Amino acid sequence: MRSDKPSQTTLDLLYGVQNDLLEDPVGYAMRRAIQLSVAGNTQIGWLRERVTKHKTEQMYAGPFGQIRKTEGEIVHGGDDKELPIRQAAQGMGDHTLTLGGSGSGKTTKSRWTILQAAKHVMGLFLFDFRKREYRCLVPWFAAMGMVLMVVPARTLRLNPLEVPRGVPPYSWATRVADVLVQVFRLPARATKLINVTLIELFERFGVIQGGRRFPTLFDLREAVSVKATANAQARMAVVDALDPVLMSLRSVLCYRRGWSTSDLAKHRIVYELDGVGEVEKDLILSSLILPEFTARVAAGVSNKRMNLLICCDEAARLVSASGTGIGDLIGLIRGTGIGLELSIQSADIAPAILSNTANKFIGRCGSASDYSTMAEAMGLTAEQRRYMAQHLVPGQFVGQLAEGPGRSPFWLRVPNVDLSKPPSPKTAQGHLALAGLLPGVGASVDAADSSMGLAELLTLPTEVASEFVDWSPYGHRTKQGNPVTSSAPPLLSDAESRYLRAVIDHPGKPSSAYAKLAGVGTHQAIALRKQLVQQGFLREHKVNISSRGRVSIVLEPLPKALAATDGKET
Amino acid sequence: MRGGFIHNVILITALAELFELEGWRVDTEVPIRVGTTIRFVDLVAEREGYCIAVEAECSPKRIEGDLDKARALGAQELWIVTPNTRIAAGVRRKLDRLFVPVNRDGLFVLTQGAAKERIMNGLPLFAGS
Repeated sequence: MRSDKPSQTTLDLLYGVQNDLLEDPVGYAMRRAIQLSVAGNTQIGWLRERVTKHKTEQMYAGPFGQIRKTEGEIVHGGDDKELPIRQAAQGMGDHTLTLGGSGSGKTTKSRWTILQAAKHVMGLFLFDFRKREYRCLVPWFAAMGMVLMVVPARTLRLNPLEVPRGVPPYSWATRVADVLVQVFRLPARATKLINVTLIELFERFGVIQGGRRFPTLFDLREAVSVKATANAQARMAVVDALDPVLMSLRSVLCYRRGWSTSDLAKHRIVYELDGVGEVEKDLILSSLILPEFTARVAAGVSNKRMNLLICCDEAARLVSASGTGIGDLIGLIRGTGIGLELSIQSADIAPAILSNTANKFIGRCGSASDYSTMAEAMGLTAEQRRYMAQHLVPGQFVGQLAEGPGRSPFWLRVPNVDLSKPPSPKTAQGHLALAGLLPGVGASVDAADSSMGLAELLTLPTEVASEFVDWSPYGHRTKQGNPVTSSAPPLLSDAESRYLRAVIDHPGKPSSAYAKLAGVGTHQAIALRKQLVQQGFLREHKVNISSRGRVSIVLEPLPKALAATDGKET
Repeated sequence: MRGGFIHNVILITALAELFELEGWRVDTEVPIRVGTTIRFVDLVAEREGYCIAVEAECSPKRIEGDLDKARALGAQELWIVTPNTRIAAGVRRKLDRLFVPVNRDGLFVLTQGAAKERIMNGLPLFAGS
């Protein structure tokens, strides 16, 4: 009589296949023999022996067990037996999140991974937000025959309003407005104000028609500040938020055409942002990665091989639950050839970050809530959570990879390679060989020079907005001390234009008459009049234009008003 | 026309248009010989042989010249039109110092509003004609 219960040999065979115990010629022969029912007691005994040995090892391996054999170019570290845990370099395109308290070994792990990934990508952006952790890699890159440039924040040349190639200006205006509101923590109404002003600026500068001369953040600030009809709170919020940043990053942002991110994405660069404020960091980061993200999304790039790796050390502010630029973008860029590696100290993370980082690592943390958040995201069992919280030490991580055997959570030891010191030729050879990397032909450790290649960046085409080089929120002046005269006509809102046109077409009327003529409300007309007088478009005169004793305000259009309304229809 | 926005647009042009509407023949910047020099009267309105010289003044400085020009022109009336009552009062004080009676013998010091009202009322002189 045949039993429905599988035999012990069948169960052993299934266990062996599931755990890669038969992935060698002998194991393959055993498997075939058992499947063809020709296996003898010897083969069945070998199988039983392998299974028993593996189960015994798993028993002592703790709740995470032994990871099956992994393959790929990137060695994240080793397991308990120092067997390498590998991942394909392209797997990093699914984004990586590393959580660990101070001193847990995040940076060491990050450096180790970057060193290996560098040769598999065309561009590498390393963001140092608080410390200078990545510049020590310069000599190691030199030893591999690659150039790693170190760019301090204030040497950058950026224009956040520059429209990336292939992206419609209207779409870019919307995207930039959203990002600026997030970066500067502006009220929601400011989004509309910035968006409309950006579109007006793009039209004024001919960007809509395909021109490549772009307005700057200074232009945006100036345009918003004179927008009398805009929501006052939103306007003041924008001006108040922009002023300190424009003052601080004047030398960085006074470019009509800055460094193109598509050009930068062909280099390996460390951006050291430790010398600027938090808002400035957000702005620089957005300016560097948003155009590249958007351009790739607009170009319809899908499932492309990763050719740009972006690593952010101490990226807490960027991924925090309170809302950031990256949180919104990370969901869009999967498959566009950009890989993100983020390291943070706390699990106060936007849900989008957890959802979109397929590679996760957690090191020693100081808070149970950090363990809990990551454990839930990685699908750890209760036993694994307890074990992790009690046994993680610096240099050890619990990891989960995007695909393959590493999808099951595993225990990881990161090699204790001190990359913070320049390598001697001998150690460089040894460590690079350990990571499967060969020194570049003719490369010399002594050739490491952080400024090497920076000259190449300085030759990238840029256009300076010279009128803003000496900008100040309290009336900007040129270096010679002369007031700035913009070559572009002054920007007027529709209501301002109508009001000016009414004054020009109907001179000598009392100011109260222009509300109706301009099609605006009485209070708005008063505000418009004061604003236009203040800006030098109009001059007020007190004239008795009625026979009674009351004095009326008569408005005189000044040349600036005539120039501003020149050619515009009533 | 020599003068600024108030002088040209608010005072002279506005009054000239109103004069024309009321059927007067209007001429601006009318040259007139005063002694050995050529001077200009801002606005001359004429109707049925009745002539009014209008001078727009934003200060009382040139009042004597205005009197000379009106006299040389042979105008029946001289209107000194000012933007507001403050300047009009200054002009009147100046005329007092010159012993020239105001609002008599065809000399009027008016604000722009008062001047317009006088035109629209058809001028008292013409009321009986």
